[in-house]
Amino acid sequence: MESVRLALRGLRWRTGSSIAVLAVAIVAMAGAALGPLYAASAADSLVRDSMATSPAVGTGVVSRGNIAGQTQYSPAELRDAVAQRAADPALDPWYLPGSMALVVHDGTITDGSRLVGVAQAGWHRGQCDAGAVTIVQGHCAVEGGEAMVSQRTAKDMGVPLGSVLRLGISSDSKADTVTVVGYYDQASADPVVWGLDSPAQFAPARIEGPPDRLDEIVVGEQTMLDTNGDVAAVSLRRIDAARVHLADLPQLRAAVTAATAIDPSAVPTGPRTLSISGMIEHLDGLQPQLDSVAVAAFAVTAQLVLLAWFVLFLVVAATSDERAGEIALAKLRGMSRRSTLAFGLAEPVLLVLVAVPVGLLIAWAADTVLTHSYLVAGTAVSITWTVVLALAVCFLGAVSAAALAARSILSAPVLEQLRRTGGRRARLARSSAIDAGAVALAAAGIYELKQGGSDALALLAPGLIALAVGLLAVRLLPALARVEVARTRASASVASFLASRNVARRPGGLRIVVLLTLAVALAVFAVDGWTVAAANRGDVARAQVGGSEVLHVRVASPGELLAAVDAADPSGTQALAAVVSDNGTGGLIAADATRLGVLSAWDPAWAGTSREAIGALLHPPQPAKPLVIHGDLTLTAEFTRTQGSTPLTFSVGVRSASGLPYQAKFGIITPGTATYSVPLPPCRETACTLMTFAWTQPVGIPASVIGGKVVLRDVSDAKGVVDLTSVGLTGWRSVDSASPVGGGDAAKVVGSSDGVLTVSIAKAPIDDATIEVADHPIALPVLQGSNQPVQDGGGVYAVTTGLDGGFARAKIEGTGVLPRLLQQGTMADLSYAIAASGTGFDPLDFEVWLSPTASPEVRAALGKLDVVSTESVATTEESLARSGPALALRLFLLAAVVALVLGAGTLLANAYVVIRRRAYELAALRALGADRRVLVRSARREQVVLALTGTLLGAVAGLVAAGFALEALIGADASGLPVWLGPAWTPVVALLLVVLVALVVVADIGARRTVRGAVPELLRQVQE
Amino acid sequence: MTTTANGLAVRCEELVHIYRTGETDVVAVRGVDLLVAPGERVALLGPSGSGKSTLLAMLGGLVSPSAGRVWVGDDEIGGMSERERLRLRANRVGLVLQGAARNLLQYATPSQNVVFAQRSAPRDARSRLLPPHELLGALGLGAIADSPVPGLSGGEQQRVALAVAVANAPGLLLADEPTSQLDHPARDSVLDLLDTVNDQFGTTVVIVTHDPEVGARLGRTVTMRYGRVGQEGHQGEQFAVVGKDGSVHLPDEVVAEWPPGTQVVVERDGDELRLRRRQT
Repeated sequence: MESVRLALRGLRWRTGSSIAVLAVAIVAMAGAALGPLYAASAADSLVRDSMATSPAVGTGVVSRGNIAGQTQYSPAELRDAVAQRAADPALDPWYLPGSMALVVHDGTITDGSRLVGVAQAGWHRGQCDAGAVTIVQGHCAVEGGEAMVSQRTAKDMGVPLGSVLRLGISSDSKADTVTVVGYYDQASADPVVWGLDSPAQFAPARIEGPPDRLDEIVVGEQTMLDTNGDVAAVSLRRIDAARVHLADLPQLRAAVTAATAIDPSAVPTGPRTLSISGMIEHLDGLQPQLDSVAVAAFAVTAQLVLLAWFVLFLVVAATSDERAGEIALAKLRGMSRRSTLAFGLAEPVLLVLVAVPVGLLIAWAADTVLTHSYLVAGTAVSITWTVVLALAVCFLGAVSAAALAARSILSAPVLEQLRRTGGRRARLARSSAIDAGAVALAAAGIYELKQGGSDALALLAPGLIALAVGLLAVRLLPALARVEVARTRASASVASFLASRNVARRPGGLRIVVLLTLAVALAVFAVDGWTVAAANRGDVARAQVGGSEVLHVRVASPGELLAAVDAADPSGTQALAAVVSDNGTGGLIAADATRLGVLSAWDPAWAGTSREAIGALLHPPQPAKPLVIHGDLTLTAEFTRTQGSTPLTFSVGVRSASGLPYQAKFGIITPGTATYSVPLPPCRETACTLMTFAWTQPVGIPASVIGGKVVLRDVSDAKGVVDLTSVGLTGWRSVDSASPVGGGDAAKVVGSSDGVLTVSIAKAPIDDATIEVADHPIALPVLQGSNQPVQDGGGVYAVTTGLDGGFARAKIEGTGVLPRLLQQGTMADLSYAIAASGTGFDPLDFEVWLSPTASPEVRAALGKLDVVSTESVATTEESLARSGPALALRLFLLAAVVALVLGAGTLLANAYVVIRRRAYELAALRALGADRRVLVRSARREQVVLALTGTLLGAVAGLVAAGFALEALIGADASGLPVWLGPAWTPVVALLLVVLVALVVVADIGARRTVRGAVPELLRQVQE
Repeated sequence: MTTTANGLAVRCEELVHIYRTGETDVVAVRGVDLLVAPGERVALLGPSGSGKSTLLAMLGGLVSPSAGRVWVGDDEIGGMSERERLRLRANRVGLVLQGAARNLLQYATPSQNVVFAQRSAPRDARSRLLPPHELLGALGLGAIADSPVPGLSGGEQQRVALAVAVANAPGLLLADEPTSQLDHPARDSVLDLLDTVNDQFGTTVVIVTHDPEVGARLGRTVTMRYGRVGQEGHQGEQFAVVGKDGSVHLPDEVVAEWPPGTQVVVERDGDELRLRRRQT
């Protein structure tokens, strides 16, 4: 106890240096603890983020069973069996209670004799609870025989309340019949109640004719229990992201594995059910991100611990050195070596002991702030074993530093020790070995990086390179300083002479150079790396999202989307229509190419074109403008048939406003002049565009060579005259001539004037004779993803999968990285992609891309669309910034901040501890009459030289390290975008300027303090 | 070698110490023979560089002799290991280096300095030591026992340093220039304390000083010159000492008149020797 009291008195006696050492020790401890603390939080955040943002079907546990194949059970028994399976208590810690639904898919809904559509009928537990779904009219379907339809179904299909519908799900007509008692808002369904399926299931028929798929018909539970159809019971247990932490993953994995296991030997005691989950695959997919954080955490922690240890060694050894006289006194009094060692260690160990909990507390607070600011809400801040290990290593490092310093004092005879002689050769040998070790490790790290490795040694390379540079620099610096000594010896600049002499003597202050080199290099590496990575992440986000902001909307067809966006933004500078088809061959994105150059966030240069050129590239001008048709079509045709030719069927093809093609027959064309009419229902409410006229051989008539000439005139629609010749002779072309397999021009426009179109027909058997309006390219101009294989069309054109899922002729205009699809798929102009569709459309994701300057008016106009979800470049960037590699780089940024604080702190502490010893020398100079200002200048100059050297070397080492390491750290992005590897000069130079200013200020403070303490009276204490 | 109850005898035979400065070997002590009786008080006098401080350091085990032998009590300390020397200083030899401040923990009070010094004593011996306040009181320092060291005067600090040096009741007290830079009253206080230590504890006292008055006060003086013992003084009377090689140091005033190289004729008459300069 007396020893502790004495140590405390000693610490109080050296208040300035004690506080300085304590502060540096605290920062060192905090820095060492912060790396693993933040790494654990980042990993936890990754887990929680992935759980929160993944679709429920990906992380949830789905339990289900079907009545099909086990009709001995009732729907009620099936429901209970599924519910029991879903309620696995092992899942309870992380999963919400399951939903429950009884559904029958694809019932044919009829209203009397009227076919309404095809729909799923379903009951969902809690469907009538508050908030489950918004009832816009009527009441919820509670009882058997009651049903709700969506307001969209009610409006589009004309289903009034009170309608009696057959659901087509049961052969028992009573059980199959329901009365519509309410309308629900199909967009308001609570996913927790509805589970896997949203009731918004409307999809138009792919071609004209078949019924549309309707939104779900929601019925009372009894209706589903009474049906004898193929009922499925489905339960979804959603993951509760708020309850999942990193530490839970092993148990979560085990619980899900057990819950979804299928035991073939188990004898079922009731209806067969099963549980499936994508959680295991999700966790497997997450692991690489967790690994990248873990590896970076190790590298950063190792570097921070190395730095902290170095700093602690520096200040603690200096403190022990300063106490050499007191330790010698213990020896003078005859204390044993052990007691002397304990006495020598007491003060620094006390300081470091205090620094451990305080540093941990500060690190914990900093991590809490960082977690709150940058990571997912609710992320845990926990003290892991790596935190304890890092602190233990630092603590032992500090104690060993003190012990090493004390040991050298112990081993020297008292009087020799007071003269500070001896041991220099041994120290030189030791430090040479350390230098060689650091250089070898740095070389190994660089080799690893050059080999493309990104393991721990490679990630340690920045620190090792900096350390090697710093250690080598302190070998050279004294030699340079000696040259400066010789130069300034005879000069009038006493300050320069004194400063260079002190540097040349290689005092302990030279270790500051190593520290600053290390700190600044880490900072430069981190700032450069973060800026470069952020810029690359921004590019990835712009490519992934396409537009600055993207609205995902629900519309019936791409044509409607195009029209809606045109109407909302006639200027073409604020909004753009796009659709994405996941067609199984890489995907197709069709966007309004005329607007891409102006408002896309995606850069056309990534696909080898430019903003100026992309419009004309994907949407080249065509010989004809579209020919618009309103309602039914009537025309006069004069047919001159070649001798011996068989009759021909005459038909017209139009494309509705939705983009769907529609074929209608005029009938058999007879020789001579006749008037033909054809009903065109899709063109009655909204205008269509005329696509084709075709003459085909009727079914059942033997094939023969036919030919003739058709003259079309007096064409009219519901609004009057339609001038077929307005597009000119070149505005018509034969479809056959555009065929990739060749073929003759079976039909050819040979005259076009004054509203009279003359077509020559000369066709072989089986061939169709078709002419089309040349308002779209023969081959769809496309850009292809750089990894998309080219599909050979067998002729001059390639082929691609169109919006209808069928092949379309394509002309590849370039390859590269496409918006949304990145290196896969194909990109085309939307209107031309519509024109290239021969049938209905595949399921499409309808999108509206907005420019950053989209006006409120445009947004309001687009708001009338059924917006399903939105995304933006900004939110995607945020999301990417929460990914594993970004979190790993943030760790480096964190290390940079800690390194800089440590560097500046140590420089200041050095002023209080190391330089203090020089006060005696300065006191002697003052006693000899040296001007105080000269001494201040000398001390300041020395410190500035050291700081400047460390900063510049650190900057070089950091940039060199970035040059080697960044490619391995961020170059492996899957987007395929060109990766920018820096250097990011602006932030790096700004950082260096801030560092230099801070170091100069610190050096000035240190110099003034040193000289202030160097009074001649000090010399009275130094008598040999 | 014998000791009194507390005092330790000191004996040096042909003691030599050579140290190296750069490329040059310097002989600091050359063949010193000295005998100090237990409880005796001796002042080592001589000009700077005469080797007196080095001799004191060798007696305290801080410096090893290059040749010759030295006993403190019954122990020949020249061949001692570092551990044995530490033990020697822990309980048998008290040492005060030049400059009082160097001998004290500045941040501790005098009593705490005594406690610090007593930590080196063997555990079983500590109970027999005088408690700090008692020791300081016995040496006339009770009033400042708990005062901060930096606030004490030079003389007080020196006396506290001496008190700390005898905290473990050593048989031999060695002090290097304990009275330098002190005014006369302070010097006398220090000498009084040395008397007290010698009288009350029987401790043998050996000090280094430049001051002949201090030497006279201690009773026996040993004057060193060029690393040798040249003269001894007893009760004010000075005696030249015959070295093993038969050499004798002449008084300074004689050397001033007879410069080195002067040839003399030695004539013996009973117990008297006469030196007569050769007439040229």
